[in-house]
Amino acid sequence: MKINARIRVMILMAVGAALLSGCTGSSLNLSGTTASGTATSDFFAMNTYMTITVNGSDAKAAAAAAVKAVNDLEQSLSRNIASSEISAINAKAGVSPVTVSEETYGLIKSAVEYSGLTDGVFDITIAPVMDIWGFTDGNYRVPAQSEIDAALTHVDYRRIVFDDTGLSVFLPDAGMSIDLGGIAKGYASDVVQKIIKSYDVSSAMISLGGNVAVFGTKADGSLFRTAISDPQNPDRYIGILEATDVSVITSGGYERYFTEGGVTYIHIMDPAAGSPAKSDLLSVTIITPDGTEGDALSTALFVMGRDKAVEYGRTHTDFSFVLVTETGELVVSSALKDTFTPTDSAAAVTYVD
Amino acid sequence: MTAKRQNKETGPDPSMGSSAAPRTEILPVTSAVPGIAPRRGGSRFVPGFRFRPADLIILILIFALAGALYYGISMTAAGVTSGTAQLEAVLTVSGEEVWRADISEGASPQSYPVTGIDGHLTVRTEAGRACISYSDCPDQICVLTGWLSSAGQSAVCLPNRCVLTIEAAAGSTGTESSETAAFDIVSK
Repeated sequence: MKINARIRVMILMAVGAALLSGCTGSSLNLSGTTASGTATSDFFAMNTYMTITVNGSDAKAAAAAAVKAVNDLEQSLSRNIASSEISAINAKAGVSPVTVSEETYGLIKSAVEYSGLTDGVFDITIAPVMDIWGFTDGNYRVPAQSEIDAALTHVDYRRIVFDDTGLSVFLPDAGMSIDLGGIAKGYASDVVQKIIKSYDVSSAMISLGGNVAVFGTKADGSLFRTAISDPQNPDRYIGILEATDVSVITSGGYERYFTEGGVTYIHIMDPAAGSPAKSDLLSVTIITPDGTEGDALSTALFVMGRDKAVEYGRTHTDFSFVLVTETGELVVSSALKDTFTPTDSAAAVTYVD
Repeated sequence: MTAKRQNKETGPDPSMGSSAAPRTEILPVTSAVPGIAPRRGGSRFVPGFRFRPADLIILILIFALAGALYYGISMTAAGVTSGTAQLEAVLTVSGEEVWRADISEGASPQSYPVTGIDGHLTVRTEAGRACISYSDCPDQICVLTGWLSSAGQSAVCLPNRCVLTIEAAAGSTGTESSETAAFDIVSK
């Protein structure tokens, strides 16, 4: 037999050996993604860090469109961008109405609706108060009471003038200004979800600075598990929510604050006091399909404190919440009993209606 | 060549002459051509094939390859059963990776100074964990995040556009296939 025949036999044996070794009976589980693909984008926008993960055939295109949408939204909604629509409204305060896009008009109107629902605890006209405390430019300071009183004269959402026909917004007092920081990320997550769903995708997981939204199911058919951060220890979480088609938005003083003279001043303002909210809550997590609502209410319920927040939850049933009190107690909507699992470290768990 | 043709069971080649014994006989091995002794070690099944030392080496290599593949594949499928997954700490500035360190079991501690877009930070790594230990940013959120120890966790310094993330090292099984991660995303 010639050399080439020998080599052929050898090759056959080698291939046979390789194939046989592959039959171990167990399958390779490389990852949980679908055959069509996963795209993840992480980027900085709206003064925070964001990640968007999409699964499905059009994942890449969907994720790219989502990132573009967030950047575009920031350009029109940010108070810190001089060319934004919000900056235009603020610049013409006390001067004249400013015509804005339908989208921005709708969002400002929604913000005012939430102000009405929460009796002003959520108020986008809080901007002048944020300015004197330094939360706008990062130069933190404790203002004098006279400064606070002066700033408070410009804080009242009821004074915003809307023109539904001309789509214009007017701030009648030159010292007034609006800041959409408490609602913009929630709104952005709704926009992002809508865009992603318009592509051929099966599921997505979004975190816009910790504002989470999930839809669809993972490749193995299971629901997404969203952990809620422990406000007393960022390394840990207080529980896991197993759900999909939902936004999970958390507000807490621990996110942004400064300390002066041994006192901690958090970034969540109490519009009535003109100063950081003194709440018996450490964090509020709202679970709802509506991200805009989740963002506005997480801030509002934090300022309300435990009892008022529970009462609000009782009378408004289109969302659920998880509150963490200053004693570490978890107060959880009973609707979440089957889907939210607290971790063992919670001091006590109270279920409410 | 004549031996080959005979092997196809077409019967004795009439061109070989009447004295040729059919090669399909079991015993004994005889030469197809009288006067020429059959080659030593010739197989009656694959005529002319003689098992040489080189063949033994090739066989050993094949079995070794099969064994290694079997071991490698079963290890990957079953996951790493002993020890921790191979983890790495990765630091990015404005989305670009600037540093990567091994933090798996037995890795030695490291400290790395980073210049972000607006200031300076220091990243510390040890076996099993990493953190941003210092930053000159005003809010210190990145430092307050503390130690990261599981794949997927991250610490972010916004003003500096820096992100420290824990990842499974390329080529390792990581935590995804060896155990189910406790959660997919964190609301904070």
